[in-house]
Amino acid sequence: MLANINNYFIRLSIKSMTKEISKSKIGLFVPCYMDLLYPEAALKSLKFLEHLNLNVSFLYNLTCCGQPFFNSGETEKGKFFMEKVLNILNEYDYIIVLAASCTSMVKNHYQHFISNINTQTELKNKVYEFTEFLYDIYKIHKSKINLVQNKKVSILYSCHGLRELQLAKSSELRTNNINKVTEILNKIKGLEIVEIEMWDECCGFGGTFSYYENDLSIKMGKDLLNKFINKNINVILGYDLSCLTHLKTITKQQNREIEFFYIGEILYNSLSFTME
Amino acid sequence: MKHQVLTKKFLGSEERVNWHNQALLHVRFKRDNTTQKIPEWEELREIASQIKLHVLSNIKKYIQQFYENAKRNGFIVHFAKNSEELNSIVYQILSQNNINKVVKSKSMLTEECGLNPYLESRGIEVIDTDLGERIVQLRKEHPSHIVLPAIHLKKEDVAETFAQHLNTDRNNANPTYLTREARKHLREKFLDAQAGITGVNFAIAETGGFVVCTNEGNADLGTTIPNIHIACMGVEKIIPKLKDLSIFLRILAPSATGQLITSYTTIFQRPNPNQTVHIVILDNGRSRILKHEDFRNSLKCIRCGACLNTCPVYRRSGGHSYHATIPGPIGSILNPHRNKTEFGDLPFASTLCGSCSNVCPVKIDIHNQLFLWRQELKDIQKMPKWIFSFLKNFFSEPKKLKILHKIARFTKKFMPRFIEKKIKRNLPEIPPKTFRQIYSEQYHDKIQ
Repeated sequence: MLANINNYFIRLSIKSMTKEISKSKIGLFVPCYMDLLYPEAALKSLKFLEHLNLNVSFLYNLTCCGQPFFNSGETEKGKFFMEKVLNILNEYDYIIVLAASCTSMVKNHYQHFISNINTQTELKNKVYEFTEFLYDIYKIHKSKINLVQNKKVSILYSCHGLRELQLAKSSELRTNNINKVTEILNKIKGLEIVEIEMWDECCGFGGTFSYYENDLSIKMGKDLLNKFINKNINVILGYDLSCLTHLKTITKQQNREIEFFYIGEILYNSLSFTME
Repeated sequence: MKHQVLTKKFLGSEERVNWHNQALLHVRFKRDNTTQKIPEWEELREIASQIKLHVLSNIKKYIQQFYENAKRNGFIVHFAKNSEELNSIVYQILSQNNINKVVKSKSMLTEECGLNPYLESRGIEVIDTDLGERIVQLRKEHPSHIVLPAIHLKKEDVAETFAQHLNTDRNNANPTYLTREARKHLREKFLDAQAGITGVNFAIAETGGFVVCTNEGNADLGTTIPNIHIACMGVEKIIPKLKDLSIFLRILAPSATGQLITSYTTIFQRPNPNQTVHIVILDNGRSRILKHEDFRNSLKCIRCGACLNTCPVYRRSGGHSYHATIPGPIGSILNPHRNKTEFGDLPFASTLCGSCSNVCPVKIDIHNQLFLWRQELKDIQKMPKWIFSFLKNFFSEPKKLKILHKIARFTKKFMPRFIEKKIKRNLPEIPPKTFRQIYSEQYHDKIQ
């Protein structure tokens, strides 16, 4: 009896919470390389968010977070793109970014160049990576959404999302962080998630690092790819398509057919009416 | 950019890179195993970080307190503004006492100052007594790691070196055999030495004492037999109270080697009878770093080397690729202060993965500082300037991005195979339509 009352109140609070979220005005930030290389993944992610009854608008004029410039020390050029992001901040309740490294640039690194504490706080409170939003705000792991996909997959835990956004707990730490990525993916019935050894080691992309130190970048990518291959993985998921692309560019040399998916794609493909 | 060039060389032997990588990973995993058994590990890190920040915020007071208490203990305290002064002070002490045979335990600080060559050119024999340091000294190499100086060498390399210098059996690479031979050799040096130079792990302001940690007891041997002990320390090694060791001694060894504590942890409180003890406190740019809000956290460093062991770049490029006394992530944020041109390549030798910041026992935000250093070094990094102007222009607005898309499609279509072969990558396919184009078609009424 008490359990039933408890459940009722939980369902009621989730209902009212999701009602509140569906009233929020959300802006969708599509990373520069996704617009050019992965339009399908971006489209499916948008459609997935719309399926959740979220009021999402694509931020058509936001082309880049400035990371390639900041990471190369081209601070002024980076600030050009930063200003564009800051200018639209107050028009939205949330901004969802379809890449973790871009999110971290905005949430964690813009603050080095902004003195206004209110703006810094606004960035931290409003800007979310896709997975982060689904877990922290929408609480999809507590929802009743029906997701099905029969696939055996593994996950690439890109570093910025892992260590700067704490999307999971990296092996260096002795904290109690939750793995938000698997919490969400576990909602997909039929999905088998395989963990690899040293799953949190850097893939070696590092943006401009792959230019400065291409040989080392490729070696790091190869080492990680081999860990997936050793566990017979053919499908690798991630929340950062930049890292996945880096692996893709060296997969052919390993003579393996491996598919790479953005997490938004997988979620959309798992919706019952899109069963693939 | 030096690190890239040296790394490319190091990568020449994949088998050796994999071996080096595994050797460092082994140490990282030992650190993991030990810290997993310390439930309050994260608390210890936070407290250690706070204590260090507190000292840095009150450094003058703590220097004064340490100085007075150390003098009261009977230590002779010197201050050295820079490495030239430190070398000169040490030389004065030795020459005034007619000393020409010295043993030295591990001190990255004396490496930083180039003390060995300075003394050797003035006729003083300096024997590094830490086994790893002795090996690289015999090979006339620099250490490649701040805790494990010879980690880049295989036992066969050591056998070869000992055969050359200690007349051992060239074909016997058994570690126990090699260690016993080194011990015999070093014993003679300890007995002959007229002075012992050590580093300092922690200097306690409250008591005026200082701590030296080793696994070989070489600091203790080197400061018990000779009657002159010279301890060299960076000014940031000061901690407030004796009880603060209950934090620092619990995080140092686990982070460095995965041990709970080093085999020998000695607190020097006063000189032995008939012994003179000198402490040389070095600045050498540390007070300049302290003034930098962005970079002062790097002064918390307790030189454990954990960041080196975890760094996926260090593990696959080796310490020598950093062409500096202190390599790895911590070296990459300390060295550029010394010389931006010479060491400006180091903050770019990183993917900013953040693993270093997570293992740092005193919570230095290393990967953050690498990012902030890059903002100071845009003229050092080697990507051609026009690429950034080009990218900025074509990313600046949706219209331009569309043009970039067309350029990319065109380039990929006519991209000669040899370029993909040269960069050893297969470039991704570029879809015919961008997201913005598809979005405009499907959501045309939603465009502002």
